[in-house]
Amino acid sequence: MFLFPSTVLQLTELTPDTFRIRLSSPENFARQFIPGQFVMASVAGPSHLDPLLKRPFSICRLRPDGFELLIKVVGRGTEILQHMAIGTLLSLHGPLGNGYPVNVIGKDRKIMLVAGGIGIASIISLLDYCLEAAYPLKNINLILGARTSSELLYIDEFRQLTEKGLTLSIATDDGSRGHRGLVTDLVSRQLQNNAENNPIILSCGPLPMLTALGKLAVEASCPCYLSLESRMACGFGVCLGCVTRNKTKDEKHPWVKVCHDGPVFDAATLQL
Amino acid sequence: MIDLSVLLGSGLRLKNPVMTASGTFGYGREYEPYLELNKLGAVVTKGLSLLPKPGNEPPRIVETPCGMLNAIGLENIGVEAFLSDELPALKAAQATVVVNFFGETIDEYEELAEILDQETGIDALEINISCPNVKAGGLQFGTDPRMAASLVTAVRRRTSLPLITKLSPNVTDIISIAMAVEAAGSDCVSLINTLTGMAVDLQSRKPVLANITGGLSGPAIKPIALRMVHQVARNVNIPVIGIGGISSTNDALEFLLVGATAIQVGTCNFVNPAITAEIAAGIETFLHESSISHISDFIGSLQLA
Repeated sequence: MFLFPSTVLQLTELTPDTFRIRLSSPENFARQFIPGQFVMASVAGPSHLDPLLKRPFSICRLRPDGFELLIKVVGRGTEILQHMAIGTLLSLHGPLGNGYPVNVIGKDRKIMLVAGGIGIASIISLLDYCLEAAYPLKNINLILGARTSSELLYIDEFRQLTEKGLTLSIATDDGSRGHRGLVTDLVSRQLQNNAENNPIILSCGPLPMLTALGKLAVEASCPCYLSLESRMACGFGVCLGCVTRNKTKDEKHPWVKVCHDGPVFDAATLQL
Repeated sequence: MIDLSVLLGSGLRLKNPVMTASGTFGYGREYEPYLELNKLGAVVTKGLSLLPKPGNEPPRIVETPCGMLNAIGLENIGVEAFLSDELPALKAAQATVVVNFFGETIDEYEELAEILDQETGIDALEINISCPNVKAGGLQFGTDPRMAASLVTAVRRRTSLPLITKLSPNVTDIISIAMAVEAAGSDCVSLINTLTGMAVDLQSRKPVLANITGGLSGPAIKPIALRMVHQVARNVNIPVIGIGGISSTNDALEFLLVGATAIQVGTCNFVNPAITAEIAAGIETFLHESSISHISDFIGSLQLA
């Protein structure tokens, strides 16, 4: 984990409200990184007091000179970042949190990756890891959901991987591509069709999607890990601003911290 | 060699005036990856209660211009878990430890003071009479000079540790509260705690925080804090610890200039976990460049004429 000044190396608009930003990182950053981890990034210069707090972003992809974030504009902070000049220095903190349980995913295991909207950022880091570690692509089932086809990101790259064995399914709210409806419709159908060979589910996306997915996983007795999103002030477990309810603990200790105990949680432990 | 040490009352000498504000520094250990705890004047723990407290429902925080609102609700692990699980690490780090604590009744404050008094490795106590986010979190003690004084008198009887009383800014006259706790035997006062505030969401037409209101902190409150520290420092004879939106060496120096003997850094610990160590080093550099060899020569040197 590092506290470091980071240079904006590249900024690419992907859709009117999503962009990719490439940031420089210290030398050993990549070695420490576990897919699913995040950084806290300032959206203003070091002595600027407004906006004051750093923002949490999933690390999407490691690059030789740093890493990439995939960001959807949702408020003032992300709007400022969207217009950041190349060469700007940001203040960064990370990698933070617990990533996906990559060390427990066997290479012969069926893997279901489920991404909703901008949740794809975190899932790409996991897919990259699987490719790097030579997981057989025929065991990986990538299920994407978006509001509409123009919001499906990196789709050409995923399509190329289907030629090497990756299974790809798509759901859009408006039916402009793939299944018309929810990504969880696809998950439900696929779990029923393969009831004898349950996958491990790993997912990132909006909370209602994760909640539904967690329920499906319990019903199908699948291990399921969900990456949660939350507003947070610190990102390392001290502000207690990002708590979410934990199923397994008593009323005296009902919370887990998304930043420090997550952001990736075993779905069975959460009260979503 | 510049002397950065400050005396908080008779029993507590800090190696420098930079402390951490309760609730923004966990139990100290969380910051060990970023700085050496024994390089700070003191580590002030998250506020402790007799029993663990779960705190409020989320959402608990929201950013506001140059600051944030929080309504954590005094979530903490309780005094027992602190003593067994957290204090040993602070001792091992050779940190100067100030334990912040609160109760719902005077009895609870007294019981806590007695428990903490018996421990080694605690250098001072900070009484929270001012958390705005829980109904019984001490606020009733913090807004009335007589109540504040009776609480401090009761706690004073149970401990010989240096006592710091942390004051609320959400009062008509903070000077009268400060004078009342001074008379009741508090060794220091620290101020300010957060200012009660609110944020609403126009789309949902709901409050942003589940608790409806929260405590405003960060650089936005610094001018108010500076004014209150200035006023209190001129009206009490005990040391004053300045708190409120400190985010740089210059901010810290401003509080010292108006009469604070020490300062606490709060919200900015979230933004830069190494900020307290950086400010301590920055103060030393400033004094060196200003040819001031004792920090006490700078404290309260505000020119009013």
